[in-house]
Order: sequence, then C-alpha cells, then structure tokens
Amino acid sequence: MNDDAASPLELPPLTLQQRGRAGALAPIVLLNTFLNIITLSIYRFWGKTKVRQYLWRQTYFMDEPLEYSGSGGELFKGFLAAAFLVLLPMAVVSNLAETYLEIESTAFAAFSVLFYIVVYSLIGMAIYRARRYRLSRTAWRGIRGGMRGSSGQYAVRYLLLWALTLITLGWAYPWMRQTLFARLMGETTFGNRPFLVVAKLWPLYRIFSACWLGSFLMFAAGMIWLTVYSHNDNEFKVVWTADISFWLIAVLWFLPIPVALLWYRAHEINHFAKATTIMGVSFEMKAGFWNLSGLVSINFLIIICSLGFGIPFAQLRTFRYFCDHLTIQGNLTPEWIEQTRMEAPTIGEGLADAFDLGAV
Amino acid sequence: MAGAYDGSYSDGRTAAMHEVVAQARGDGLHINSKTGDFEEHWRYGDVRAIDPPRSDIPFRLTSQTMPDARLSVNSAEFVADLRHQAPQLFLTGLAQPTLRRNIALIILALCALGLLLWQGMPHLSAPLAHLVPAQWAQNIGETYRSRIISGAPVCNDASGTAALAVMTRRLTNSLSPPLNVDVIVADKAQVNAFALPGGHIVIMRGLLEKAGSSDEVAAILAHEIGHVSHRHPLQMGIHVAGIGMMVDLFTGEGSSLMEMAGEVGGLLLLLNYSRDMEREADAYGRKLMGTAGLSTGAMARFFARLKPEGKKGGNGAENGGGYFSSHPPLEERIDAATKLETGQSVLNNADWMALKNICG
Repeated sequence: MNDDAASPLELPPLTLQQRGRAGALAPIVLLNTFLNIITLSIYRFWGKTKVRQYLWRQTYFMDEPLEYSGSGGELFKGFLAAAFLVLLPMAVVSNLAETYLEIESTAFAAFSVLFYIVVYSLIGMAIYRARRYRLSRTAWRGIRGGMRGSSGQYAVRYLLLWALTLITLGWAYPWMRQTLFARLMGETTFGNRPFLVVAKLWPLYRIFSACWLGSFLMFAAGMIWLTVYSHNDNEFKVVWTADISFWLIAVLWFLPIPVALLWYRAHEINHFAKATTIMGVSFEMKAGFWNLSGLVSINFLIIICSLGFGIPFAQLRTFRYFCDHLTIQGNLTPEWIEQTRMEAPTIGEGLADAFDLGAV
Repeated sequence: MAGAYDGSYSDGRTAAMHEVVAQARGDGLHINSKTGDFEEHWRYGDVRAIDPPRSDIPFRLTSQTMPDARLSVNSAEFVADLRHQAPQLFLTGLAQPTLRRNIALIILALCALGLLLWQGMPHLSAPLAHLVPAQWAQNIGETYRSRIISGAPVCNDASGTAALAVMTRRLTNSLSPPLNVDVIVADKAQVNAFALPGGHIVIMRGLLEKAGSSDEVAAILAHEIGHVSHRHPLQMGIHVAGIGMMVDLFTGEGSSLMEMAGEVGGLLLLLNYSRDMEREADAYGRKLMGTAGLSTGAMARFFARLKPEGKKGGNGAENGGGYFSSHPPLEERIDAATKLETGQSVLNNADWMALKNICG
C-alpha cells in the first residue's frame, strides 16, 4: 500500500473516449432482435436499455466510465402513458374529424392546421423530455445530469421556429438551430453545475447563405436546362439528350441539399461546441464535411441493410465520432461539482418513442 | 481474513474521487480512505453492483443507503472475495429477480394485448358499428370493394343488370325500414360473394356460373343482405381498424416486418366473419326468401353443389374457399336450409340467362 496517500489524487486528462466495440455489441443486438420478434417488439424497451447500458459504460470521461441507470420498465411505462393519454385520443380525434368534416371544407383545413400545431409541439416536448430522462439516468462518479428548464417552453419555441423556417424558405434555419441548441444545452446540468452557451449567429449564416444560394443556383440551372430541353423539337437531339438530362437533373436537384446540409452541419457542430462551457471548461469539435459524410452515409447503410435492427451499431459509431473529434480544455475541479437536487422523472420518454425520435 | 484492495470512491455528494482501501469482511464491505478522512461500512444486504463484473471495466458498487456513492475496484481477487461473502450480488440469468419481473411484465403486456384484440375488439365493434354514419360506411365500403375486386371489371350488361335489380328488389321490397343495398357482379372466376360496409354487395362471376338456378343466387344474395342488415361488414371493418391501431401502437417503432404482418392479418380477418355472424345471416336470408315467397331450399341446393369439391379440401379460387373457411359446417347448413321448401322461381328463364351472361 502507498504510504504517500496524503498527496492529492492526480487528475487524469480531460478526455472523453468511447471504447465500445461492434463485436461486443453484436451479441446484445442479436439477442434484442430475436426477443423483439418473438414479443411483437414489446421487448424493445428493455433491449434499448441494454444497448444504452453498454454504450454508456464504454464511454469514459477522465478515465472513469459513465453509467446508465434507466430501466426497460420505466421506458415501457412511459410508452403506455404516451400511447393511451396522447396517441390514442389523437387518433380518435383525427378519425372523427375525417368522418364528420368535409375534406375540402375550411373547417377541415382549420382542423388540420390545429392538428399539426399539436403534433409539432408534442415533438418539441418529446425531444426535451427524452433528454431530461436520459440525463437523469446518466451518472459519472455517481453524479447525475439533468435538464433545468421546462419542456413546454421548449415546445413553444420549437413550433414557432419551425414555422418561421418554413415561412422564410429556410432562412430562419440557423437561428432556429442555434436557439434550440442554446435551450437544450444551456439548460443541461451536470450535478449542480449548468452548461453555458454563448454563441454568435453570423458565423452560421455565412455558411448557411453559401449553402442556400448554391443549392438554389443548381436548382435553377436544372430548371433552365429542362425548359431549353423541352423546347427542343429536333428528334435526334431529344433522344441524344434524354440520358444526359436525367443525370444532370439528378445531380443538380438531388445532390446539393444533402451535400449542403452535411457541410453546414459540420460547421454547426464545431460552432456549437465552441459556444459551450461548463465551469470554465471549454470544448472543441473537429467535425468536417468528409468525416461527417462518412459517418452519416455508413450509418444509413447499416440501418437500411439491417432493416433497422442494426441501429445500435450506428449509435456506437456516432458516439465514437463525437468522442474522437472532441477535445476538452481547461481545469475541472470535481470537488466543486455537487449532486443535483432536481427530481428525476419517474417514467421514460414515452412521447419520443411514439414519435420515433429514437436518438439513442 | 479478507484481503485489502485499492479502489476509488466518490461519496455521491460531489464528483471528487478518493483513493480508498476496500475489504469484503464477514459483516459487510469496509471502505477506508487512504488519507484517513472517512470510512464507510456497507452491509451486504444494501450493496448493489452497478454492472455485473466484467473484464473490460472496473467493478462498481453502490449501497442502497447511499445510492449516489460509487466504489470502484479493479481487481479480480476483490470480486472473488465479494462473491464469497455476498453471492446474491452475482446472480445471473433467471435467478435475478429483476429479470424475472421484466419477463412477467412482458408476458402480461402480451396477454393484455391479446385479450384486448380477441375479446375486447369484438365487443366494442358491434355497438360502434351502429354509431357509424351511413355516409362514412358508404365510403369505407367503396374502398374495400375496389380492393376486393382488385382491378377486375364490373359486369354491366344491360339486361343482366336489370335482372339483378329485379332479384334484389324482390328480396328487399318487403323490408321495413327499407335497406339500401348496392349489388354488383365482378368479373372474377371465384365462387364467392361479399357483403361490405354501406350495403355494398359483390357477387363474383364464378358464383353465377356455378349456380344451378336463379333461386340459388337469390339465396346467396339474401344471405349477404343478412350480413348487411346486421351490419357485420362494418363491425369487421372496425375490428380490423382497431387491431391495426393496436398493432401500430404497440409496435410503434414499426419495423416493416411487423407492419406487413398487421396488414395481411387485417385483410384476412376482414372477410372472415365469425360463425355466429354466419348463422345470423343464414337465418335472416331464409326469412327473406320465405317472405319473398321463394324456395328456401335453394341455399341447400347451392351448398350441395359445392360440397363434393369442398370435400377435396381445396381452398382455391375455383371452389370458393371463402364460403368454406368461415361458414358453419356444410351439413348443418344444408339441414337448416332444407327444412323449409316452398315457393317459386325468382327470375324467369330469360332473365336468369341474362344474369348468367352479365359479364358478356
């Protein structure tokens, strides 16, 4: 035993690592898939919990693993609550409306608008509550996370900002993203310590306007090509250009948006990380267009090819991506982080499950 | 004498980590700070393992008396000591009470779902069927009808259609309140007929070909009118929609596999009346034939015609599987239908020929 024990414990470096391996996750996923099938997918709540436990305990902050303490039963209860208190009444109401209102009447239109408002608010609420649940079940050295704000307020912003984004043909998008991120992250706590988010908006707009205008120009070019092409009555030329037109339109119309989105997202991730601090500790992400595209496209393939059963592998890859590209700077004094006094929710993310918002 | 092992400990009040020495003694787990600041004594009854012991992560423990405190020891010998003192911490498989409880919960949920589908839905659908407005039933019926005839042409030879109208009127004339039925012949080889919501009735060409007389067709039609009068089709429609809704609810994160199973199950069920419903329709049909002054034995003759083919056990399109799969045993129905034998023919010979050739 060390006689020198009185010396203070040396702090490990501020790192976040994901040490999980697909090979170790595979047996969990296989068993989950089997049990999901034989239980008509009711097992999914327990299966999801098993996957989270794995992902969390393989995530090391300062060489100390995280811990996920949620249970399948909590998720199941959350699901039942959402299904019977929210989804079922909504299904009944919309069915009744479709029955009793003329489809082309103003009353039906008004109902539809109202219905979308409710659905979008519920989605916002679901995102917030799911995050609250997960953080309250996440612990590091026994200290839990949490969300200190209200899901209702988040839902209102979510709804209004999305509406604004639609009305402005997307131009409100960066503002929406940043406002929602600032709310989610800025209301996140670790123990009694809040995260702080202070960000300028213009760096996002610089990237965004380039993306938007670029996509718009490509789209317009496609339109012009089509107009010229459709006025071309020389039969030989029509046949000759048909193939080219197809590929040209495919490239001009369907490539820009995903490319622009990934490019924008990579910037956004870095921008958001830079804007976030906790107790003077700051973050830096090194996301880039190519590595993010690699992550997203391979995850997409994994999920499609496995008919959705391989989602945990995609989640592991996403976790690892964030851990690998994140650097943390500053001096953290763990003694200053006290246990949270907030009450944790007793049931889990039913709404998020209902709306298919299965982030992790 | 239990060994002393180096470990790290956080008390759950702050995130500070302390170097400690842990010992699994006879009276419980002893945790002593290396600096002598504190000592903890956890009784085995209170101790919980955060994860089962694994080679890839340190073994973490907590106590129910201090649920946020964490003791982390990275030593296989310590685990062995503890296993010796408190074997209940190391239960695996079905020996774990939480696993047993979860399995019970899942089985209970499945049973509740099953009960709801097989017992609840039939009881709910009958009263609901009477609440559905006529216009809605009409629309549903039309949708179902186009799905069932699936692109086959509707036979509309003028004199055949007129003959069909004569037959329909003859049967429904005496009804009060009047019953709205809309009978069509679909150009399909199946020996089958369906009643659908909203009074839609579809007779397949195969049935007309198989029938030996107009009375036999009238008897089948009367039987289908019986279904309409009892609102059986609507009841089944609600039943299926309800099941679809429950399946959607429970399989929420719908894998396409589950959705497909639900869809196929629903369609099969839609045309599968219960035996009680068939008996009701049979009785109603006989009464209708009697009131119209028609031969109530016609039904029996038609079934007798089908019988030898039915005995072959085939279920193909040619022998009208629909009528065998769900209808009461043939013998019983023939018996019931032969008891009354009066009346004359519903159509004269020319009209009957016209009806037979309605598909041109």
